[in-house]
Amino acid sequence: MSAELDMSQYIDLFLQEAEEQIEVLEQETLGLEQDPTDDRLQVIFRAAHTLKGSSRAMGFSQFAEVTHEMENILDRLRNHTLSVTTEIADSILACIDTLAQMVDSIGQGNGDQIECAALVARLRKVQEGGNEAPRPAAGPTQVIELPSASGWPFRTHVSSDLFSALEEAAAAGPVFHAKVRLASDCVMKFVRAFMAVSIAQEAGELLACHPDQEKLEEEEFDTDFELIFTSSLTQEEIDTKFKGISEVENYWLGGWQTPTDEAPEVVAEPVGSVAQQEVPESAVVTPAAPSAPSTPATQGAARKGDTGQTVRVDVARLDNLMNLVGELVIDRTRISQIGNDLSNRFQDPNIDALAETVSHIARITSDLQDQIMKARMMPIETVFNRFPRVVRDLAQKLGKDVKLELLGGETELDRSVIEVIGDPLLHILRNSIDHGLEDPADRVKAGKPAQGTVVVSARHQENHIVIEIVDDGKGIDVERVKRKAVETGFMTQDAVDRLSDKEALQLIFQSGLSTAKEVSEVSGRGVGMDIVRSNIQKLGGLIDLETTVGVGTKTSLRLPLTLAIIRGLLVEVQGEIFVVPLGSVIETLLISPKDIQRINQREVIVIRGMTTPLVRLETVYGSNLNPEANTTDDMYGVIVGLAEQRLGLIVDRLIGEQEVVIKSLSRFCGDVPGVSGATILGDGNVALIMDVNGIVATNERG
Amino acid sequence: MNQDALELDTTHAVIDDQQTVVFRLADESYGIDIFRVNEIIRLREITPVPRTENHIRGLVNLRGKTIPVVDLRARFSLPVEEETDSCRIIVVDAEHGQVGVIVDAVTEVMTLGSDQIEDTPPLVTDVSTDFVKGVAKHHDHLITLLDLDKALAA
Repeated sequence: MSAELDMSQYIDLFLQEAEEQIEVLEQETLGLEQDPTDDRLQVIFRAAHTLKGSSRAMGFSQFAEVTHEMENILDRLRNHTLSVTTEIADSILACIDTLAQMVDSIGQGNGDQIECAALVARLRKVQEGGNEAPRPAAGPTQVIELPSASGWPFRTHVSSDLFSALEEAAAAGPVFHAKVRLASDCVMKFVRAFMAVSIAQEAGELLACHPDQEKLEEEEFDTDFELIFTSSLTQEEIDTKFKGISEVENYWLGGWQTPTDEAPEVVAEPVGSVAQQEVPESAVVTPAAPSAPSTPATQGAARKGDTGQTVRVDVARLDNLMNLVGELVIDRTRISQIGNDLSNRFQDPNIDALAETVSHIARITSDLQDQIMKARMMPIETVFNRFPRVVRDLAQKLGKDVKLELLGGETELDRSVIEVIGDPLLHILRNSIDHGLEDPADRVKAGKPAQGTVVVSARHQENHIVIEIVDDGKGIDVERVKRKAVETGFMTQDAVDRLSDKEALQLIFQSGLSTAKEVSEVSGRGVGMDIVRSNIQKLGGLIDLETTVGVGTKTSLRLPLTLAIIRGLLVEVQGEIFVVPLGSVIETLLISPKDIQRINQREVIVIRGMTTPLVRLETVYGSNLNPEANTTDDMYGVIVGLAEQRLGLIVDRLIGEQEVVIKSLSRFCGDVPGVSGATILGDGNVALIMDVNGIVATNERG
Repeated sequence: MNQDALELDTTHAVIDDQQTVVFRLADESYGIDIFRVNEIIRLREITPVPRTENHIRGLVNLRGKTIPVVDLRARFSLPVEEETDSCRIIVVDAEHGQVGVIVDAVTEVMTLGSDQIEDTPPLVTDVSTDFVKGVAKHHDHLITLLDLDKALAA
C-alpha cells in the first residue's frame, strides 16, 4: 500500500462492512442447503464480491485470495456447473469462519495473516471436483473493431450485439465515448474508475465499458478504460465532471462515431456471461449490465435510493443526543414552573401565550425523545441471525435432527440490550438442543417426529420484549433436579421435599447443578444457567422456565426494551430521593411500627399471610445520609420481587412514578453497594437508582 | 535515584511557562494546570453517594451528565467550614472522566515562568507533599501547585 495514502482511517469502515457482509454470507449460505435458488446465490455472490473488492482496495491480499476462491465456487454454482452439496456448504462456511478470524485479526491491528493455504487448496479442490456440466453454449458473436480516436493508442472492440445497440442509441440521441488513462502511480485505480462510471451513470445510461465493470472494480486493468454512454447533458458539462477526477493522466471525450469510413474488422469470438471471465485480456466491450442490458438505469436508481435512506451514526452520538434531549426535558419542566408562578402572580395575555408555548415545547420534546429512542432501536434479527449456524453445527456434532424456527425477528429493541442478550440466548438454545431434544431414534420410539423443533420467538409486551425458546424435547425431570441437589450437598433431603415443583425448577439456576448425565463439549458443566440468570437480571429482566416431562421445555425471558430509560418509583430515604426500578416493584403499602415483627433478629412483615423480610435502607447505605431528615413516624414499604423472592424496603415517603434516563455511576466513585446508577430528575437534581437485585442478594446472604 | 531526578526534570519542563488556575482553600493559594480545567461552575445541589470515601461529596448535574464532586478540604484533611457564595466547583479532566473539585474561591488565571517555580520545601503548606508538584512565588506570596492525578487518586 502506498505510504502516501493513510489507509488506517478506512479500516473501521472496512471492518464494519466486512462484518456485515460476512453475516449476510453466513445467513444465506445456511439457507442455500435447503433452498438453493438463483436469487440466493446472487446475494451470496454479491456479498463475496463486495468483500473481495474492498479487501483488495485495503491491501489485504490473503483476505482477497480467500474471497476470490470462494467467489469462483459461487460463480460455478450460479452457472449451474456445480450443485450445492453439504461438502460445498461446509467449505463455504469454513471460508466464512476464516474471513471472520481475519476481520478479528485486522481489527486487533494484526493484519490478515491467518493461515489459509489449506483452505484455499480445499476451495480449489471443491471447485474442480464439480461435475463438468456442459456450459451453456454461447452463440458466436461478432466483434467489431472501432477506429481509435486520434492520438489514442488503443483500439476498441465492440461485439456485434452491442454494436447494433449502440447504433440504435445513437439514432435516438447523443452517445458519448470517454477514454480515460489513469496516472501510472495512481493509488486507487478502482476508485477513479468508479468515479468515472458514476459520472456516466448520472449523466444518462451507461451503455458499455471496457474493461467490464467487474474488472474495473477489481482493478484488473492497466491504466486505460473506456466508457460509452448516452446523456442529455452537453459535452462541456460532462467534460467538467470528468475533469474533477484526480490522478488522471490523460483523457478524451467525444461523440461516439459509427465506424463507417473503414470496413469494420470482424472477428468471431465466443461471448457469454460465463466465457467472459475466461477470455484472457478480453478485448470485448461488454454491456454495462450483462444480466439485464435493458434496465441498467433503473438498477442504478434503485441502488442509489438504498444508500440515500440510511446513514451510519456513531452510537456515542445518539447517546449525546439523548443527553441533550434529557436536558431539554428538564428545562421545559423549569420553564413551565416559572410560567405557573408568573400566572399566579400576574394577569397578562403574554403569560397565557407562554403557557401555550410551553405545552407545545413539551409535546415536541417528548416526540423528539421518542424519535431518538427509535433511532437507537435495532431488530432482534441481528441476534437471531447467529443462531442457524450454531444450531446446524451443533446438530451435526450431536447427531440430532433439528429444525429451528425464528419468529418475530423484526421486533425492535434498544441497541444496548441487543448487545448483551446474544450470549444468554445462545446458551439457552444450546441447552435445548443438547439436553432437551432427544436423539432421532429415541424420538421415534416416543412417538415424536424424528426431527426435533426449537422455536425462538420475540414479541413486544407492554414496555418489554418477551423472548421464548420452546423445544419439543424430553423436558426437565424435576425429581432428578432434586436428587442432584441432595447429591451435591446443595440442599438437604428435607428441604428438597418441601419444595414445590416450580421452586425445584429454580434450582437449575444455581451454579454447580447440572442434570446432564454426561458433561459434553456443548453444555452440562454446571456453570451456565446461573450465569444466564444473573446476566438477565443485570439487565433488569426476568427468566422463567416451564417444562413438561416428555413434551418439552419453554424458557421465557422478559427484558426491558432499553437500558437507557426505565420507569421508576421515586422514594425518599433520609432526605434523599432514590429511584426504584418499577419493573421490580410488586406493591407499596403504609407500614406502622406495630406491623413489624421479628423473626431470628430480622424484621419481617406479614402481607396477606406471606411473611416478607424487611430491609432498612440505612443498613444498606450506611449513615452517610442525613438521618434527621425524617420527621414523621410514617413508613412506607416498597415490596420488591425477584423471581420468587419478596423483600420489603422501608422508605420514608413515596413521591411518584417517573421515566428516568439512566446514567452510569462514574468509576471515580467505585462500586457502590445498592446503587446501580444515577439519573437527573425534573428539577435538575441528581438521584440515585437502587440496585434491587443487589439488595435482595445481600439480604439473602445475611 | 536517577529515576527521581529524571522525573523532577520533566515536572519542571511541564510547568515551564504555564497558565495556571489559582484558587483559594483555607486561606492558602493553590494552582492547577489550565489545560486540565474544563470549566468552573457555581456550587449546586450535590447528591451524596452512600458508602463512598469521605472526600467524595456526591454527584452533580453538569448539563445532563452526572459527575462526581470531590471536597478538597476533606481530601487534604483541612478543617470543615461553611460554604460561602464564593465557593466554586472546578471541573477537571481526571483518569475516569470529568470530576468536580470544590474550592473556597477561584482567584485568577496567571502565567508562571519556570523561574518562579521551586521544589517543594518541606512543611511549607498544610497539604501532604504527596499531592504537590511544586511551589510558585508570585508577588511575595506562595502558590502550591497541585499534582491533580495524585490528589484525585483513591
